[in-house]
Formats: sequence, structure tokens, C-alpha cells
Amino acid sequence: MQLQINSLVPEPLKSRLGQQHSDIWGQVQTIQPGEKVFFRAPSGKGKSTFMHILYGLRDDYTGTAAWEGKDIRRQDDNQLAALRSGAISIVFQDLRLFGDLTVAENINIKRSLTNAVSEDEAREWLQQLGLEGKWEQKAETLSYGERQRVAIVRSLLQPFQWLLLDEPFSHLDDGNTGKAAKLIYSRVEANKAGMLVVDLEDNDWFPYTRKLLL
Amino acid sequence: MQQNKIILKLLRPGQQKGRMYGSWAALCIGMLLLFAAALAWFDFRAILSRKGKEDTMAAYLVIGKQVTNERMTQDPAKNLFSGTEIGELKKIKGVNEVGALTSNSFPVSASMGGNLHFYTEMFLGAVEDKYLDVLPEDWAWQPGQPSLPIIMSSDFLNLYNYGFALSQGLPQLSQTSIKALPFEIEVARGKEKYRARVVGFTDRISSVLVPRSFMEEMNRKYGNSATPDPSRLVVKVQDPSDKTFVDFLKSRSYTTNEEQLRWNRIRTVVQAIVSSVGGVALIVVGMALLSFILFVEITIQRAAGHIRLMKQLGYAPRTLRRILNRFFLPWISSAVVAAALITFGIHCVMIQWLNTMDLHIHLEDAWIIGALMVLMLLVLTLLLLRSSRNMLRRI
Repeated sequence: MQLQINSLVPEPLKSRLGQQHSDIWGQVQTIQPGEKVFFRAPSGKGKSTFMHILYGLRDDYTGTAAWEGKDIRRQDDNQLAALRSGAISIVFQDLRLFGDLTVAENINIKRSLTNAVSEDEAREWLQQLGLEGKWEQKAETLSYGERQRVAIVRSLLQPFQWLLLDEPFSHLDDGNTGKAAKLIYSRVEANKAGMLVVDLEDNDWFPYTRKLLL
Repeated sequence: MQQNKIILKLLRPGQQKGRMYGSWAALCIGMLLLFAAALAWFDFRAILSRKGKEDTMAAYLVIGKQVTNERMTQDPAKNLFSGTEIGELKKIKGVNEVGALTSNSFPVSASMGGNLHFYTEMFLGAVEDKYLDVLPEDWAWQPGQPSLPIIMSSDFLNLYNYGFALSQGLPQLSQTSIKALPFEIEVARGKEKYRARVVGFTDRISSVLVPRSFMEEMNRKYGNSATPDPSRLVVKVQDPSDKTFVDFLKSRSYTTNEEQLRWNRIRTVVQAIVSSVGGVALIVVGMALLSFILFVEITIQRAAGHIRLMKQLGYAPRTLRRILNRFFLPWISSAVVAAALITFGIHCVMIQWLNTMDLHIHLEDAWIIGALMVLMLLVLTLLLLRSSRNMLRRI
């Protein structure tokens, strides 16, 4: 699934556009299936906005973003649901877990959508990220770092061709970041997927094919 | 299954139990009123139309042509019932039989011998035996028979006993004493004389009745014809309060015992009451539906955040809708079904209770509950589907 970006300008960034160079905003970009692309941007440059546009969550922008030639803005709720459950997965910067559900429920509500991954496997991944024993705990009682890892595992519970990561390790120490990156990359490989990672600082968590400036 | 449980948990956040049961109860009560009103309408109809046991409920009415000032001056023959008029009456729905009350077309007088020196000109009437409410043993007459049985209207005896006798200082007479008094009937100014005796009293026909065979024989001998047109008719009707029948009587200005028609007024009143209960029930049901829809919408609105996130995780609106509907449908159906069962229960109890008062309603009339139940379920389901679809689209 190819990603094409054409003259994308979000409304909130309109006034500041042109002050600094950007490889994305107002540009034409084509990202090939399976690419691992890192987007670096300081705060306020629209990292989350970019992710949300690609995930079809906002439409306050000009220009187009198209997956496989289909404008994401023109997809209806059911088409978006199909994309989000079978082709594109995401780790939100603000995680977006159900705070009043347990870890198990947060995992299963995503997992049971496609049943691509077994519950045992999901537990195994949580364990790899050091979350054993948190299975029955409510998400809102976890630390931010723990929640971040739950969100990461949740994003891996479906088949995907693209994985979008929005500052995925912001609250993880290096050790945990390493473990999480390893798990993520193994799943990206298994799905033969591409990944789009945005973060503040340059990094080498994954073997990127390109690094762009947002 | 597990998925649905989690999702339902997300769609029903917070403490909504009170609201939920409250709107369930409102729905149930509204339905109950509606079902009860519909059933009452049917039950009253069954009681008032008395379809249960045709014969025991059927009534005999004596009808005549109303005497008006215009009629007083017209040809007396027009105040009689012609064959066509009788035929028309027979065609009315609910009219089972029509019998003629034949009068004498020859002079009759009665006298009592002995010390009483009682003498009076009088009249006689005759109907077929099947229209009589009493049939005394010796109620028969054959040509040549010197004795004549007579059935007198008990009204006449009452007039004498409670009116005449008291004011004149005469003794009151019991039915038995009257029966014991023989008197003489003279037909056609003494051409024939009969020894008459009162053998019974009737509450149905206010006349002095003789056997039909006697009337025909005398009318043939001394009158114009054996069976002259009657001035009054005895009608057996299935339901004296039946609207078509009452309207027919009115339109022809036929008179009858108004008392018998009172059911008609009662029925009108009852139907008005039941209709207004039905109207109130409709309003209550409307409000219950509204509260129910509001409850559904509030529930979905409250869960808007969760629903939005579920959509972000890849849940299709139709999946969410299906789950929502699967949660709400049993909940509304149970309210409707519960109301229907309660109404049915009340109906069964009513059948028993009314039976003790010899009023009969039918178990089969409960079909209306079933029909309304299905209708209401349909309406509610459509409303639910529509409202959940709209709400999810808006989120």
C-alpha cells in the first residue's frame, strides 16, 4: 500500500508554513510499501497532526494524503474501520487506552476485532515488555510508561501494512525502549509492513530507509 | 461473546441503573395501559353485545307505531303494520323473529254474574304461543270449546291494585284470587258467549290475551278477516341495544319499551370511557417511547468518547450498532412482553370474576394483546434502529 502526499497543509500550520524547510508540508512525497521512514520534528511542527491525517482522524487541511491512491478524507466510516482494523495500525502519542478497562480488556477489545493474534501471544508480548502481573489491572492505574507499552502491544494485535508510531517511547527508559523496539520490529517484519515513526530527536531504534524533516 | 461484554461495559458507563429501570417501568406501564384499554374495549363489546349465549340474552320487545298528532287524523289503517313493514323489520340484523299481536275486529264485552253486576266493553289480543313469557297448562282453545283461557297483563292488575282499588275503597286482589273468578265473555254483541277465566299473567305484552285459534276463528266469523294487520308487533331481538336496530326504530318512529334500550346508552358511555382511557394510554405510550429513545440516546451520548475510540481502533459503526441493538432489544422487548403477560393475566382473572356475575367475556379476545404486542415491538425496534444509527453517525 503506497502513501502519496500532495501539498498537505494543515490549517493550524498555515501561517507558519515556509518559515522553515519541511519535507512533508506543502510538498509532494511518495512513500513506497515496506519503507521504514522516520520523521523528525521539534514540538509544534505537527507530528501528531501528520499521524492523525494519515490515520483519517482529521480533515482540517488542504492538499491530499492517499493510501493506495485513495484519498483518506473520502473514506466513509466503514472503509476507515476496514483500514484501521486490517491495514494501518497506530500508537497514539496520547496512547488512548480505555482507562476504566483492565489491561486484559484493552488488549482483547482490539484483539477480538480480527483475532489475528491469540490471547496467549498478546500476554507473552506484554511479558516481554515487563508487564507481567498487570493483566487484570485497570489501565488508569498504570504508570504512563506502562500504559505506553500496553498501547504498543495493542497496536501489534492486528494485521497491518503500515505501522504509525507517534513518539512511541517517550516515557520508556533505554532498556524498555530496546525491548519494545525489538518486539515492534519483529511484528513489522512478520507483517511485511512499512513503518512511519515521528519523534522529536533523531534515533536509530529501527533500520530506517529514509529520514525526513517534518 | 467476551468482546461484546467488554463493549457493553464501555457503552454503559457510570451508574445508570435507576434511569434504566425507570424508563423500563415507564415503557411497561404505558404498554400495560394501552393493552388494557384495547382489551377492555373488546371485553365490553362482548358483554354488551351478549354474543355469548344467544338465547338467554335475546330480548322480546313489543313495538308499535308512535301516536302523533298527525297520525291521529289519518286513516287508522296506516297505524297498523303492513306486510312490507314487517318484512323490512325482519331484515334488520339481530332481529330473530317478528310476531304479530292481532286484535279483535269484532265487539267484545265481559260481565260477571251474581251480586257483582260487573259489565265492561273490552278488547282482546293474540300472539303465537312462542312469544309468550308464560304458558299456563290450560292455555288452549278449540272451536266448540265453551271455556276460554285468558292471559292478562300484570300491568292491569297493578293498575287496579295500586291505583284504582285503594282510591275507591275496594279490596286488592291477588293473582290467585283473580284466577279463581270466572266471568263471561260475549262476542259480537251476544252472538257467542264463553265462560272465561284468567289462567296467567304476562309481563311482556300489555293486553288481554286469548289463544290465537280463538282470535282467528272469531275474526273470521265476525270481523273482516281471520288475520287483520296488527297494530303491534312482538319482536325477538338478539341485542335490544344494537345500534342498527335502535336507529331503525327511531327512523320509523316506532315505539317500544325504552327500558329495554338502556343498554344502548350504557354502551355509549362505556365506549366513551374506554376510548378516553385508550387515548390516555396512547399519550402515555408516546411519552414512554420518548423517554426510552432519550434513554438510548443519552446512553450513546455518554459513551461517545468510548465509541469514538472504538471507531479509532477499527470498529465499524455497523458492528457497534449491532452490539447496541443487541443490548437494547431484549430490554425493550421484555417491557412489552411483561406488559402483555400482565394484561393477559388480568384478562384471565376478569373472565373468572365476571363469570360469577353471569357476564361472559372470551379468552380468545386476548388476540388483540398479541397483535398489539407485535405491533409495539415492531414500532420500538424501528425506533431503536433509527435512533442508534443516527446517534452513531453523529459521533
